[in-house]
This record gives sequence, C-alpha cells and structure tokens, in this order.
Amino acid sequence: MQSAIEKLRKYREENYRSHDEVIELWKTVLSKHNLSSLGDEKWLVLEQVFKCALHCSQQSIAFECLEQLKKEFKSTSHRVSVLNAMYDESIGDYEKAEQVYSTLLKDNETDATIHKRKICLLKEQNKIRDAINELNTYLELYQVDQEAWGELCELYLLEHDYAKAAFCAEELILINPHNHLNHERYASICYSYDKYEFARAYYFSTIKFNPNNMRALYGILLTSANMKSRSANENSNKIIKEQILQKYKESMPDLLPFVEKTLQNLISS
Amino acid sequence: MSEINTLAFVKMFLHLAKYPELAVNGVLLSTRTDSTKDEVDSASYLNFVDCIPLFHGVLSLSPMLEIALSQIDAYCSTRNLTIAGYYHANENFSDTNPNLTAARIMEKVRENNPNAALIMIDNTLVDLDDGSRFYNVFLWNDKAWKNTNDSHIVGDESRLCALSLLKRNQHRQLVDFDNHLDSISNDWRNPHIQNELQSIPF
Repeated sequence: MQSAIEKLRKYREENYRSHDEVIELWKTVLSKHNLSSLGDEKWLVLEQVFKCALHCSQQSIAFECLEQLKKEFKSTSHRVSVLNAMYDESIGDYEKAEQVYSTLLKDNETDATIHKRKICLLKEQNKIRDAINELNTYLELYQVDQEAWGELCELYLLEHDYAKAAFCAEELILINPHNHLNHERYASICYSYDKYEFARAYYFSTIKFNPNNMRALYGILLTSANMKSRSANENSNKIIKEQILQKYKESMPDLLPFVEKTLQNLISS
Repeated sequence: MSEINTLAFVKMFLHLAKYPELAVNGVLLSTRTDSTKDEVDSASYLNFVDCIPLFHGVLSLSPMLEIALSQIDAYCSTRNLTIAGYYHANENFSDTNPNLTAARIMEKVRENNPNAALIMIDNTLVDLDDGSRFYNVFLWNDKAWKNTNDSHIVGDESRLCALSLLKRNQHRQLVDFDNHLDSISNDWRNPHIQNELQSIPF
C-alpha cells in the first residue's frame, strides 16, 4: 500500500501520464484499504484516480471516487463541482455539465479552468469548429497560455488547417524559444503544407537546440528532396546523412539497411 | 476477404492500450501474393501477418509519415511483405468515422497497393468483453468504402493472447514509430512482442 501511495505521489508531482497503471494500483491495492490513514492526501489520491479513470473510460471507478469526494466536500466545493461535471461529460450528459460550468463562471468570470472545460465539452461533441472559435476568444484574454495554444494548434491540425496551426506553433516558439520541440513542430507543420524553405530553416534551428532530434535530422533531408535549390544544400545534406547513419550504427544497427534505403530514396528523388 | 493473424491483432490492440486517450494509427502488413495465381482471387484476399504502429496524438503531419512509410517499405521488400492495411483510432471515443487524416493516408497507401484495407477502430469495443472484433474493415469498391466485416477472419486465440499480453503489461513495452523517433534504440518492429507471444503456452 505504501509503495502504491508513493508511486501516485510521484506521478502527481512529476505530471506522469500513466493512467492505466494508476487504475491498476487502485484495483489491486488502494480500493481494498481504508485510505483515512493518509489524512488529507486521501482526497488528492481520489481526485487523481478519478481523472485517470475518466482517461481509461472506467466510469464505475470514477463514480466510486467521486462519491467519496462528494461525501466529504458536499456540494459547495467548487473543485468537486468541476469533477462532477467532468463525470457528467464522460457519460454524455453534456447539458448538465454545461449548466454547472455556466453557473461556476457567473461566480468567477476569470476562471481559466472552467473556460477550458467548456471548450473540452465542445471538442467531446465533435464540434471542432465551435471549439476553435471559443478557444480563439479565450486566447485573446490569456495570450501566454501555452497549453491553450498547443490545444488550438492540435484542433487546427485535425481540420488540416496547416496555416492557422503554423500560427499557433509560432506563438509557442515566441513563448518558449529555446524548446527544440516547438521548433520541430513548427517545421513539420510548414513541411505539411509545402513551405519547405521555412521547414528547413526551423529543422536546423531545432538541431541547434538539440543535435539529437531525429525528426529534425530526417526533416532536413526531406525538405531538401522537395526543394529546387538542391545543389546548394548538397554539403549540409551529406553531413546530416552521415549523422543519421552514425546514430543508427551506434544504437540500432539492425535497422540500418532500411534507413540507408530511405535516405538513398530521399537524396536521389 | 481478409484475415488477420495473432501477431498483427495483438500489436494493434497493444498500441490502443498504450494510449487510451489519444488518437493512434498504424499499418498492417500482408504477404505479397503472386497475382497470377487463380485459386483464390488473390487481388482481394488480404492476409495480415504483421502490424507496425505508427503515431499517437497528432496524426496529420506528413514528414514523419513519409519517413515511416519509406522505412517500412524497405523492410517489407526484404520479407516479401506489403503494406496492405491502415488502422486509425479517433481521439473522440464514440467517433468511428474516418476523418480527413485517415482519408489522406489511405490515398497514399492505396497508391502502392490499391487493394489496401481501411481499418477504423471502434473504441467502445476495445475492452474485448464481448468478442474479438474491435474494429471495422473497409475495402474500396465502386468509389466507396464498403464494410467487409463479414468476410474478415480472426483466429480464436488472438483475443486470449491480446488479453494475456495486456495483463503482463506488454502494452507499455510496445514501440510505435513516434517512440522510435524519440529514441532510435526503440525498435518499431517490436521483436520483443513476438517473443512474448511465443512464450504463451497455448
């Protein structure tokens, strides 16, 4: 039991994405013990298991946890009301959840979490365009919310609106310019709608921040294969190709023949 | 007509289990048939013998898809295999329809193999409570996708093997192409999964 609790604590603090493991720990250990010995941590654990259960579509486990939380915190708790509404969302009772969120927003218009839950509500009902509009409105107020820009980027990508997704990716680079993942994402989006020069430039800036970013190394050769000024890029392509092959030689020699074939196709296409 | 073996079935299943809340996709490989054989209408008989999980989360970016398909093609030609199917699970739990991404990727897959099948995962059936079918198989016929579930064969032991490996937490060991790009020592051919299967007594 103790090791289970410690694991859950670690996952909470370090933001791990291990939903099925949490559910397993609940099923095999935690649900069979009296959690009162944990004191206040009991509620954090219940909330954590609740959210993981929703991720894994285990509504009955979510309900169990929710009931315990509701018993303790009654109906006046803002936090538990939100969890309750999330449960309603998961069973398809969207109207009820919407009502709860609207009521909570009346009390506090600036609550970013509630705004985002309303947007999730739209996404769950596959109303992607509406979700995009609402999220754009939200971002006019909360302009530095990385999570929101990331989500908006994904929503645009669902619609294959690469130009707007690229804009979101640009915002993410502005907010966090040294994160190699932001550069690589932007480059890949540019590549996806044929902006090869931009893509190549940003794949290069990716490896400036992280020389081991495999996607960027591949990306440089991909963009070159699609650009007309190929001869100018020959030397840098050669270096990148060698780097890729070297990495495979060191870490995964079994896959080397397939990688060689891939790179050969790229360079000769 | 199509058939899937235990290895392909299990890998596809484990990919879904690994990322329960995200969209995932991947390809299915089948043996290359000599199309001059006339015992079976080999052009439309698909025998899925392996599965290569591709991506999770965002599925609509093309550069890494091109790299993946190119490497998988190279792998296929050394083993007399061909990419004959594409599976896609939407992020939205109840949405079983192919979206724009699935359609575009299928277009690409069908360029090399016009008989390729589209496999749309039905998230509500993935717990395998009621049977083996957790997806719908579509073949392109007469300018539309036709549901061919009735002529799709799944072996009896596939479901049991899938659940057994899930219990052994093998879904956490499954490698998709995204995992490979994150760290190339992750092998997208998943030989360890094959070994696990062989160690099952039945």
